[in-house]
Amino acid sequence: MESDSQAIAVRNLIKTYRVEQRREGRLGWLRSFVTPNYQYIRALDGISFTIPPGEVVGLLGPNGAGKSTTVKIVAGIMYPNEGEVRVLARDPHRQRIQNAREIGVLFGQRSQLIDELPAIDSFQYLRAVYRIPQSEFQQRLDELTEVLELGPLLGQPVRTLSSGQRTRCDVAATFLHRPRVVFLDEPTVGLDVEAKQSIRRFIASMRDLHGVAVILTTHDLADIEELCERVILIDKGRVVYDGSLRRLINRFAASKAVQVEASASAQQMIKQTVQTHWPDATVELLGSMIRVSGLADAGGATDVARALLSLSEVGNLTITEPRVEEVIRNVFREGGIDEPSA
Amino acid sequence: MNRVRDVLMPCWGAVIAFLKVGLAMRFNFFMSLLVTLVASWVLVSVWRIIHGGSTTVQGVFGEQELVTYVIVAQVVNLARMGWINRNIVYRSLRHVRTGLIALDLARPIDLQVLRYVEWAAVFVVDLLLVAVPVWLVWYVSGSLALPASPVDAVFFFVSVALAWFVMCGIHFLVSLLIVWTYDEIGLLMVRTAIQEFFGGTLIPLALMPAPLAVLAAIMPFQAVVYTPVSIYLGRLQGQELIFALGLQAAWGVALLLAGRWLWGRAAPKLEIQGG
Repeated sequence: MESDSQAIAVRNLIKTYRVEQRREGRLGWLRSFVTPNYQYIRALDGISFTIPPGEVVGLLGPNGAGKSTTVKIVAGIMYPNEGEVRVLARDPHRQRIQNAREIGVLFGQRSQLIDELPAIDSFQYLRAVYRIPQSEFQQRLDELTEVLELGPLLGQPVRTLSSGQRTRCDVAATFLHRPRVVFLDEPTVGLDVEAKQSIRRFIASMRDLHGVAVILTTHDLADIEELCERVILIDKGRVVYDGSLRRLINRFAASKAVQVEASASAQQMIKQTVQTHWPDATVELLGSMIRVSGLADAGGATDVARALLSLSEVGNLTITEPRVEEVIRNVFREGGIDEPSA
Repeated sequence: MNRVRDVLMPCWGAVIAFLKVGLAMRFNFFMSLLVTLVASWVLVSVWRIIHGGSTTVQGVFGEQELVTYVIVAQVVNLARMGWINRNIVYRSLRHVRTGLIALDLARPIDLQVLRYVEWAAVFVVDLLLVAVPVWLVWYVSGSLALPASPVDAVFFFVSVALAWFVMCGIHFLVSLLIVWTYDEIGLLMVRTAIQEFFGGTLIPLALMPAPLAVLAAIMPFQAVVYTPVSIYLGRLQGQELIFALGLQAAWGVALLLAGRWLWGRAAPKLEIQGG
């Protein structure tokens, strides 16, 4: 592959799962017991992309789109049926062990720490497994402890930590051996705003200081907005968009959203007006504000704004950028983009 | 020198981590101790009833020897549903089924090496905290004979170490079958049942009728229990003893290779679904 200078290069990945399917009919459960019915589901249907060193790329898609499957294959954990993967110019399946030395993984739903033991024991285990010299280990651990505020957590059995505390320890475990490529699968799932912030800051600093390449999958689009200039959208096992986040927003959300302060009665009126004239738009009530988004085109926002201002009992009006969430929702609602790559 | 260190450092790390895991399971030991004591008491009672005061069973075992056999077999029974099987081996099976194995595979260490090393660590803990206390309880109660001679005692320990090596091979193969069967408890129960019977834990193989004895002889399970216990009793001497130890080692290597081969086939089949 000409892509040896890339941190990650993936070409035409295909992965099929065998999934049991309940038979139809009244006694389907019984017939399924005797003769199970399997179906083959194509989780990945020709995924290709490359990621250079030092880039954090967001991998987005609805549930079951193939995000986690992609991550597991690129990390060398699961094998594809077809296709080629290179991580730092290595085949992560043929050279799993050499590859594993250079990568870090974090599965937000599954802890990599040894449940029964305090986190410090897991770190010491990782020190041996990655053969980190003692002095370096101590220095990195001190750094991580400070940045992620692990101090009091290190000596406590992992199973007694809260999910936010555990995730912070997991993040430290992921970066302890200074990986050059990192896979973060929902690193901020189930965390409070502050914990999310500290983890995002930490990921950004690893990218900036050490040129780590990161694939980040998440359902929290604030993670993406803060960390990624580039996103890859996948749906039904295919890449439907690969390019800059900004461009995606500009292209896909030509519309702006309109936000206006309004009294309760005015809010009702606005809602009705919008629903009559712009049936595709989404109306949300946010306290004393009302937000209208998902308008078909740029002109739409101006029209809505004009209409709202003509109503009485309307205060401050702002035309804002759409939220990434709305953009993504639009992309998937419309079944992807015609020209897949940017 | 550095290469040796490169290989040993991760293994040593895993040994230490699993020694700690073993020692963190305080309550599991008491249960294991209890299970092993009860199981050996039941078997001793059964055999005393069968024996019924006659001098030998089928002309093979005297009462004291039979009781010693049954107890030592329980002590070295690595297949017992004690904490190793209920926690550590079960854990490696569950890792495969639930996808936690993804994290083992993200580490720069061979999966088979990692498992053998983990099991070595917990085996040492089990030996010290379950096997030796059970042996002591029976010894103090006066039911148990010492090893036939000091030399037999030494060979007995060699044989127990080899038995552990064979057991790791069995554990590893069973832990891979989960890729096809998806039922860790069931798999462990079947293995324990087969192993306890054909390994000579319940009935000394010398008392089995010919077809069963032949079947037991060609399976690896006798290398885990029957061989070390026979050495303890001094029933294997000279060439026979060397042959038995060699057979254990051969089984260990054969199972190791079989495990490598099967893992090579299982790894590409591994489906880790879900987040």
